[in-house]
Amino acid sequence: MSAAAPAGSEKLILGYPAKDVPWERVLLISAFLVLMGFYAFATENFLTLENFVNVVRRDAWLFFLAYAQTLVIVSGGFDLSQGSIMSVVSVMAWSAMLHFGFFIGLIAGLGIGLLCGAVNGFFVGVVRVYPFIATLGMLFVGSGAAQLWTGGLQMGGAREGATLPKHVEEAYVFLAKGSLGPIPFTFIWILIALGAMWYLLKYTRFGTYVYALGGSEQTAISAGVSFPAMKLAIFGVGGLLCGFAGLLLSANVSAAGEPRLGGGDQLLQSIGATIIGGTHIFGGRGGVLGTTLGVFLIIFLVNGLNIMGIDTYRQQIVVGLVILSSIWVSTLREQKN
Amino acid sequence: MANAAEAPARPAASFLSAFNYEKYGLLAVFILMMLVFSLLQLMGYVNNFIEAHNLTNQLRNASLLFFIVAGQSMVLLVSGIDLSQGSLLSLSSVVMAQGILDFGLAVGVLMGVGMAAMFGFINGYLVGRVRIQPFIVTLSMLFICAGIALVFTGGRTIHQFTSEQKDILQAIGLTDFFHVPGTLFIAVVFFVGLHLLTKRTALGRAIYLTGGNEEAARLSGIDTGKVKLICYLISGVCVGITSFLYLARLPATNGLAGFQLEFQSLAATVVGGTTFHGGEGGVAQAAIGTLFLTFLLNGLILLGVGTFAREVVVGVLLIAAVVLGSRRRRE
Repeated sequence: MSAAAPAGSEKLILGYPAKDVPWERVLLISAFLVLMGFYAFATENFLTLENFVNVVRRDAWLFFLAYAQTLVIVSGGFDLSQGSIMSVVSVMAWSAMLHFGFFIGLIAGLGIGLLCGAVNGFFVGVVRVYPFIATLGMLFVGSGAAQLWTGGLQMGGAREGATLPKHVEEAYVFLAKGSLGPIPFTFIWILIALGAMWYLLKYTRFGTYVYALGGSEQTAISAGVSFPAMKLAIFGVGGLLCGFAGLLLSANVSAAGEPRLGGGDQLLQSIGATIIGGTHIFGGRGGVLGTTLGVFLIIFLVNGLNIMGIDTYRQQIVVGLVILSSIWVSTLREQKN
Repeated sequence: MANAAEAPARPAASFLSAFNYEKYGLLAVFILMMLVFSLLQLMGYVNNFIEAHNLTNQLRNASLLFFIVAGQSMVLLVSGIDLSQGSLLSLSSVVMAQGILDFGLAVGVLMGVGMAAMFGFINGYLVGRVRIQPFIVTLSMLFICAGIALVFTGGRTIHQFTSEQKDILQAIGLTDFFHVPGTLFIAVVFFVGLHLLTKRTALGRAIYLTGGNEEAARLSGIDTGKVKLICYLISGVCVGITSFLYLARLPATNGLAGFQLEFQSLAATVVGGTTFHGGEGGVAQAAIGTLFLTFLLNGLILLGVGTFAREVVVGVLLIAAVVLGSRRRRE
């Protein structure tokens, strides 16, 4: 208690009392700056506005995925099925766009994301399966369903067969690559999602319940928080965000329905960004601002490696090591306290 | 007795209520499944399911899968998880193959198994000693190992063994004795050893206690960190053995040999009845889960169910097994 301490004896560091300095956040920001500095010297085209805009535009999907993961992890859960939800949304939205036009397709995509999330939430909240197992099941079911839907092939895009009508495809691409004056749309989407999630977690009863559930599930339930309803809502919102991430990524890749869209390291990156951003893995602590920093660190780490000509296999190793060591540091720090 | 009042509420012990679902439920389902597939074969929907060649092959697959499922079970017993098994298998098998090419058979095999054991140890150290969440440790390790394996091979397949080495390897991996695959004997020996370790030794009791109630285990003087470390080490060694048997069966491997195998091993473990709580399940459940998953997938393939639909089936099965399991426990 700083109030109980004799006045004047407390040294302030960065405006915080010495005990409460958020070293993790300081470490994270300095790591990010060091990384940027290193790349700025090691490569030619890294520290340019063009590169910055391109990277954030191309990897915008990771923000939405990481926000979803943050929400779920803060409430004391996990979502392994994010990649699969992206795949399902990608193929189903494409099919809907082919038959019913752009907006119906967009709504269908988001709706399917929401539905997948709600199914996760149903199994976690109502049936009370471990989030790990429930979403692992959804990982299999989603990726299987996406590939069944298309027979394992890419729909539209570069392949033979049906293609989207020209204006629909243009609208779809516009969603991810268009811009409002000098500001790319994706920046606006990210800001909206960030603002909404931040407000939701900080200033609404929903947010309070999310933190309460993650802090101590038993206490929250006995205080009257409805576990099934909350889990349905949390995973539902998570699914919705994953759905939008799926739409953005498919629009960005080829404006095609891609059944293996989320089959790569998207899951590691979204969990990595969340954890690096300071969200506590057992829930109850953290938030989307930290996650945003985590996403920035990961996408620019990868981008710099790309510019330096380092292949994806080596990038995988580096990203894995960075995530592992960042959580190592925060675990050690926690045990010290 | 306080229970006396409850006693009449229970129906007279019929066969069904006396049946121990926990222990023999999946075995019964397994036998039922085999009967259904045999029936489908008689009706002509399935070809070659009950047939010596197919059964031998499936038993061989099952005995290879069993090792990693057993490793996964050990880790789940101490409320952990090992997601790095698949990519560690790739890494261990390519190191083993390259080692065999460069230094000869024995040294190569030792190098491969040693590599797997080393990563098992690192996982165990980070989980048991540094006390990082097992899920994060092994997920990061999944990508690290996969990356190293792919960088190491550069996408090549390693198969250039001398004919002498090939003969020895295939003698271990492919020999059958009266239609019983030789690898099954290795798996059975391993099963007995691990079963005795978990059920008859102080270490085994420590493992179950650590998973069941870590705090109690710690208070009763068990070094829970060490117990966890040992479990992850066992999982690593299991992966090493599997990668050797895979290599011995094919004589060839590449950087994607174990791609996503951890999901199969998790599915078999959980379906078998080992739970995520820790402290429940064990090696026997791993064996029956492995057999069940192997023959189910085989039957579905012979029925003409495609890869993608099988993936959906595994997902549904996984949730169903857990839902049924937790329902039973609540009653």
